[in-house]
Amino acid sequence: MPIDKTLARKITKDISVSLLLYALPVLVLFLYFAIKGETPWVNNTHTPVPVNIPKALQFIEPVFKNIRSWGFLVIALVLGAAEFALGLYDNKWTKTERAIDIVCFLAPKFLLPPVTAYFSLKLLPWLLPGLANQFSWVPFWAGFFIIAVADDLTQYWYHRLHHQLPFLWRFHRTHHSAPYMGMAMASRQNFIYTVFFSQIYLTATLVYLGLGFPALFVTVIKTFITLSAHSSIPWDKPFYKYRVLHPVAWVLERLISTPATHQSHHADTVDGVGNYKGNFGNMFFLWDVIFKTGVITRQYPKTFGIKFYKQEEWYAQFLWPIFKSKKPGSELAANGPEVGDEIPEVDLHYEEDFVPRQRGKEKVTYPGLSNN
Amino acid sequence: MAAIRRGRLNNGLFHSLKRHFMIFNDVTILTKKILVGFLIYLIPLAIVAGGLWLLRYLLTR
Repeated sequence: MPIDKTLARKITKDISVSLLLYALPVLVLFLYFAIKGETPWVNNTHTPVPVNIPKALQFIEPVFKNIRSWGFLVIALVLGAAEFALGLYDNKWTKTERAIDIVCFLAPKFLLPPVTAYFSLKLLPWLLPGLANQFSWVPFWAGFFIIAVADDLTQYWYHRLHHQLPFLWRFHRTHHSAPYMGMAMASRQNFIYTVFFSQIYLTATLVYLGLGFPALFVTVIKTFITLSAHSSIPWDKPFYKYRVLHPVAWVLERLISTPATHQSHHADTVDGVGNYKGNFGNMFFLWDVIFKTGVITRQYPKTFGIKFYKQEEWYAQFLWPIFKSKKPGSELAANGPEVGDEIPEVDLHYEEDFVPRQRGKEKVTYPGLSNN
Repeated sequence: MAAIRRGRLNNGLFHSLKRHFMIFNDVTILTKKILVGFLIYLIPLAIVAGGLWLLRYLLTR
């Protein structure tokens, strides 16, 4: 499936803008030191600022400190329990979906740490000897800004390219095959997609170079935002409902991912509310605003998932292309069609029960792209 | 034995493996995917780490 030329031009243009965005925090830091005349790297006297958590919130401190291990599990399980109690899965959590969600939630907790530990503790010291903590003089605020931009913009691109480059789509398809939103599907990913997450290794490298403390804070905030954006609990609704909160909503929905904007990304249609061809932001929605890939409607889609879904086996969804689906005509089967995240425009001869929707015959438009 | 000699069994096994496991074409896709991921990792790292090094270099001179 060739990539559309207009889209290729748009990707190139947006990548050029991204290079400036990556450099922006460093430029701000340069100006800060130049104006103040400080050179903290000379004696490297920088010491991390101790963080005092308010007494009322001290009970969550262990979760905060262990966010990368069991802290994430606690947050996801508490939110997930609330979603189930509210009946938000609406009987869509079938046996197949359950198996995929549980495997995708648990297996990476055991498989990923050895990989990242090897990268951080063995590979980086070997590749970059003597560079550990080189940038530990970077102040906390600047480190936070650098990591937040570097980590999340990298994830934005990783995510966006898996939608827009057809050969990458099947690695990300598992995350979109869930016909519901919520904690059950928040970690639902193909393992190959997860293990090659560029931002994990980027942040690990920046931690090795001395930005570990700010990285910890970014990770905690990012975990909260991304999990809550995947939640089926529309916590952002009051911000749209009450007029007095509209200014807050205006800033919030442009700055971070909310259930409204991220549910739109998981919708199975492009109908004004659903926008699976955009809204790629994970922690920050700002990238979608800058690159014009976002749609803000303050509404929630009615249906989720992908149209070309055949309830493939858990092992195929979790480990494609190592294991293939046995379902005939599946995208994950051997010689399966490369449908991508499109709604197929033509009837596929091997897909007997698939009826193309009228909407699928319309010209596909990308938000922010001219149709010329 | 006669089936193996005639290559039928080998073909059957090959087709079965091809149907359910990774084949050469998948290795190509996987390699391209890793390459894209590596570029997405390397470009921001070069900008951030290079930028911080340059900042220190320019302000130390």
